[in-house]
Amino acid sequence: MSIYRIIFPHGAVADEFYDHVVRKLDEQAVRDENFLGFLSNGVEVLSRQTASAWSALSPEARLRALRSAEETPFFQRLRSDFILYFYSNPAIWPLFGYEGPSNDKGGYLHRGFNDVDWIKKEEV
Amino acid sequence: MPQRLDLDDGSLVLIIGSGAGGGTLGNELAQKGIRTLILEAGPRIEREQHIDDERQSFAQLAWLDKRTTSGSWRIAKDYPNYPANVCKVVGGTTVHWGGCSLRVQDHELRAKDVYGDIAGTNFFNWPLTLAELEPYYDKAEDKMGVTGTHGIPLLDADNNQIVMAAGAKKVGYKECSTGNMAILSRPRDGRPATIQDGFCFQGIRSNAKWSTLNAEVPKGEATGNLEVRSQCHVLRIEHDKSGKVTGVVYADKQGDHHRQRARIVCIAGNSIETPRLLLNSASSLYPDGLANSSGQVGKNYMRHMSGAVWAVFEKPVRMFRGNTMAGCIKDERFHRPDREFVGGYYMQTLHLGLSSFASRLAINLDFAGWGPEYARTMEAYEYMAGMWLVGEDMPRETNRVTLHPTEKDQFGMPIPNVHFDDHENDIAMRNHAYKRGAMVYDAVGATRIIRTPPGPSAHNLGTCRLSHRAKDGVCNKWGQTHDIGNLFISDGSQFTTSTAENPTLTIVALAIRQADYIADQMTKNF
Repeated sequence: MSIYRIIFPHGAVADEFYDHVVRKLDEQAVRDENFLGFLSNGVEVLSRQTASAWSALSPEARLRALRSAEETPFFQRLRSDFILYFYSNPAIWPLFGYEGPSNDKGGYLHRGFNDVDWIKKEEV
Repeated sequence: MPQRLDLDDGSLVLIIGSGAGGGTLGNELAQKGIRTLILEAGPRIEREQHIDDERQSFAQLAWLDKRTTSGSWRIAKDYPNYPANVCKVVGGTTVHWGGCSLRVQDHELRAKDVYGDIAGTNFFNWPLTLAELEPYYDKAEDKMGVTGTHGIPLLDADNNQIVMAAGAKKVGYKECSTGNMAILSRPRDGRPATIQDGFCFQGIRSNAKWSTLNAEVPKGEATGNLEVRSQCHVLRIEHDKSGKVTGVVYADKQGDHHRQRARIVCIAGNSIETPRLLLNSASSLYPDGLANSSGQVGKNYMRHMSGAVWAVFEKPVRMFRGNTMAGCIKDERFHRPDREFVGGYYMQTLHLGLSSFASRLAINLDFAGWGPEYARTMEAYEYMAGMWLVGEDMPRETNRVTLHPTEKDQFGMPIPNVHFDDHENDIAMRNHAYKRGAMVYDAVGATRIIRTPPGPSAHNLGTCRLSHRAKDGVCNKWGQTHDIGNLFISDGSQFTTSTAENPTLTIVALAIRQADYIADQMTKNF
């Protein structure tokens, strides 16, 4: 969780949405021992590379540590799973102003498909 | 549904694939009274079952069979096992296409003459002219209900297009509109007008977009002359001692093999599977694969110059309200000798939902795909507009589809490898297009510009090219293979050069034209 707060820092998004991703990883780790090992090993390597314990690091130091690990399979997997599970969760869409599917509501035809009001008609 | 055609019926026309080429050809032949069978590798998923959710829809529609990649293109690193974003369902990739329907330009069909010699390319003129194609474009546009043709009004501009059009006007572009789209603006031919509900890449829930799933296939079936047999994956094409093809062997959904006989075989499996099938059908008579005496099968794989430009504005845009793509700037489509590249390109509006956009942004050219800047950009989603860039790329013999030397698919057949190196022309055109795209958005007050590189290819072209001479390509001007009279290529594999235009309209026009030719030949030959 603290790693994800650094990799994808959405300050206004509550912990529960980050938890949603962590739970997905947990579920997989329970099913797959290799994945559990992969995660634990990744965390351990990351901690070894920092001068003090992860919990004692400043946000800036954590960001630097993660940058140096950017190319590792561990980091790449954390990153891609986050993107997969976090942004596809419909519960977070309103926080990003995304309204999602509209077919069952009659589309956006009468719900603002052309409501940009800061461009004047004559400009188009 | 028509009666199931007999496996031993050697008098029918067999088409492999039900997308823009195969689905259209099947209906056209059926309308002429010719008994036709389409074998489709994927399942039949009717439009009511389509899912307006990017992740779930991908799992439902995409061609996920493993492929490998090589070469200097970014795809080999970013998506090593998913080079092409195409569908494995009845309707093929017309189920998830955007709908942009543009005719090719005259000079593009004569590219070798017009562009001159370009190192590292393998240009030929098409063996047909725009004048020969025009009557078929006319029929294709009518069939598909393309806006801006046949008295069909253009679509109303959505938010994404309003922003792009204002920018286009400010920078002096003259040809920007919602474009020629196979998404209806008025009810027509049993389909309703668009309700601007987007998710065009996820299927056709609203039925406003043309695809072979909601148009050609049911129309063909209604004649009683067409059968579409789904979840039937063709493994190889067979021939007799004289070299003529006699039918195919396919695996059904249980994996059981069947031999289907046919009088004529037409391949429309998209530009990776089509050459793969020819190569996988090698025999003692054709040791290098079917229709490959030229050695050209699989070569000259093209995928269009592409890329995308995204812009953040101070006020909301909400690009997701409206169709996925319905805006087009045509001004850069020409070949201009004063530019540092040959050929031209288009700028077309594109939006993605939050989920797909997050994946796309993770691979961008301007900052790391994670961290504070990534998060800040995602938070600006509501304030963004986006455009896709699409232009002509270079035919090169070294860009090619080959069989993997060791890896096999679920049926034990070698999987395809797709090799692609960007040509310097592609890079120069892409850089030009990125700059022009940014100018358009800067002109209307963009605060930030983000560029994303090409993703898995939606436009897969070449690999069985049309050619005047048998030694230069795989098929003649009708898509009939030079080597085997009753074997045809019926998809985008035929393209001699990529041209700058989105290819579906041309694939459909070629299929209508090919159906006329096949019907005529059946009375005389084979």
